[in-house]
Amino acid sequence: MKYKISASKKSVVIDEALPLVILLIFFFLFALWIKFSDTSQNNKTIDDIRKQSDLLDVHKSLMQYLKMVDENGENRMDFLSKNYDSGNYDLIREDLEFYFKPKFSDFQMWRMEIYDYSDSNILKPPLRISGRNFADTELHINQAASITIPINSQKSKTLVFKVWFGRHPQ
Amino acid sequence: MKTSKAMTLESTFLILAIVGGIVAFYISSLDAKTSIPDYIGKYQFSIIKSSNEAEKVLLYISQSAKYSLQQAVYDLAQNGGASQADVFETPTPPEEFYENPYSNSCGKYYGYPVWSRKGENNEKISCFDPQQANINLISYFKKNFEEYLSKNPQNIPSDNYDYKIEDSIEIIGKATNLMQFDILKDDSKEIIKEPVKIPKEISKTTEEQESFTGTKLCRKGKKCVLNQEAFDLLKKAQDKAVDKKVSLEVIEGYRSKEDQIRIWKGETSDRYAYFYLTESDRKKVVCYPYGDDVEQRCPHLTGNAVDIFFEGKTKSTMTREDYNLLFSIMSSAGWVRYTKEPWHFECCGTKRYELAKAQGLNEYGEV
Repeated sequence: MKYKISASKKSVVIDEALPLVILLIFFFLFALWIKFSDTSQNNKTIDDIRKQSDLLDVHKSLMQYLKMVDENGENRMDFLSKNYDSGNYDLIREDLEFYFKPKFSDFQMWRMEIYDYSDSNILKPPLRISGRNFADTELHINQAASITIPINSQKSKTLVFKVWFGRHPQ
Repeated sequence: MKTSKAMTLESTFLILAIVGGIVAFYISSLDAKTSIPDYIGKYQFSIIKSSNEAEKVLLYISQSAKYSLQQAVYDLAQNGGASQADVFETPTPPEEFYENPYSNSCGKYYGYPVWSRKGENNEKISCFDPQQANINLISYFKKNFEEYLSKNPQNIPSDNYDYKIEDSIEIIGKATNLMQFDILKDDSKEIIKEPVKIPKEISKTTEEQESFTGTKLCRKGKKCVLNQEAFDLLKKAQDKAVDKKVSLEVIEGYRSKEDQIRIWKGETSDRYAYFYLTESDRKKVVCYPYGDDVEQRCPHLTGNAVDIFFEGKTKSTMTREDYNLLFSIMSSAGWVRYTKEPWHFECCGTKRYELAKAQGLNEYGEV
């Protein structure tokens, strides 16, 4: 009789605890799911904001470069125009690399191209910060900033700057 | 003490309740996501990006103006201070096209304008007018500047500046219309030029008129409006042009009376009032905008007249063959040409059109 009463008390405790255990497991899984989606959403938000901020920074760098005035009173657009007309593309390349390499050091990958009126890229190979080749698909955050500048010539030519850059996602 | 059966039932209901709660939460969170924008600060970034676009365009405009003036000074010097009319590329007698009574009267010597000559009594007659040279400088500058502006990917309005010369060689350009930049545009789309409806308070268009500003048929930076019937004929002409491997571009269509008055007064960049100082001279090239019959005399005010070139070409780069082809295309589509202006065509009941058609002609002179 005593044994029987003990046995039934044990089984009663286990039976009553089972729903609570299931409930706790579910809440634990649910909390894990919320945490995961929240973190994922936060990372995406941060990436989106950074992407836009980077685009503004690249624009700012481009504008600052083009507006720089030397001791002769010529701005960088005049320098580019003069050397483009003379075919001194290497000089253009050196100047761009000297200025933009430290500016874009935060980006894991970046590439700059300049197209003339015939849609030819005058910087060959494209100016980039890393020596390795990469495809656009490797840039997880892939975008381009661009600006068109006039060239001092009789046929009213222009040059188009394009900068692709990217970071690895968070 | 509960039975096993009761426990199983209780557990089942408990599990169902939990699952139901999770599903309800997920559905409600879906609704919450659609009301949240793409990312925080999207609107603020859009405003800044639009500001950046404007900054790029302003930089382009100022640099283009600098290069345009340098080139204009060179061009003016190259032509001895003479106007572009003297260096018109089409090898056609000037009286067939644009008459310029103020062109250099000393003539040319081996293609170079002469600055002075001897009169009948051996007196020196000067043919160089510094004021005219200023006007010519603006003309050269405007040509170069408009070419640069047309090369910019943004829709920079052309013929949008009033120019004047300050001191020796400094041209001040004041924009007549503001440039517009879209905020919250879709960055993944290229700038797509779509027809823009001109607000009625600006152009007083009616429901029977068609605005095709910003389309391929309208030169970049221009406002193009025509009556529906005229627009249909224009499209017909464009079809014929495409068959001939060319494309048409309208630079002027409907013009309001106020626009016509501005042109007459010299308040547009053409500066007709400076080139043609007397009313009688100006009336040869610009329609007199006053009087009750102005809409009968000035065809552009009817909405049935166009000034038109081939795509990318201007008055000075259209050759004789181009004008002949243009005439062939437009007349076959039902337009009538004004004989003194090979880029000007009319249709659909204007006075010139009616007079021409009555005589079975495709072009007509003064009416």
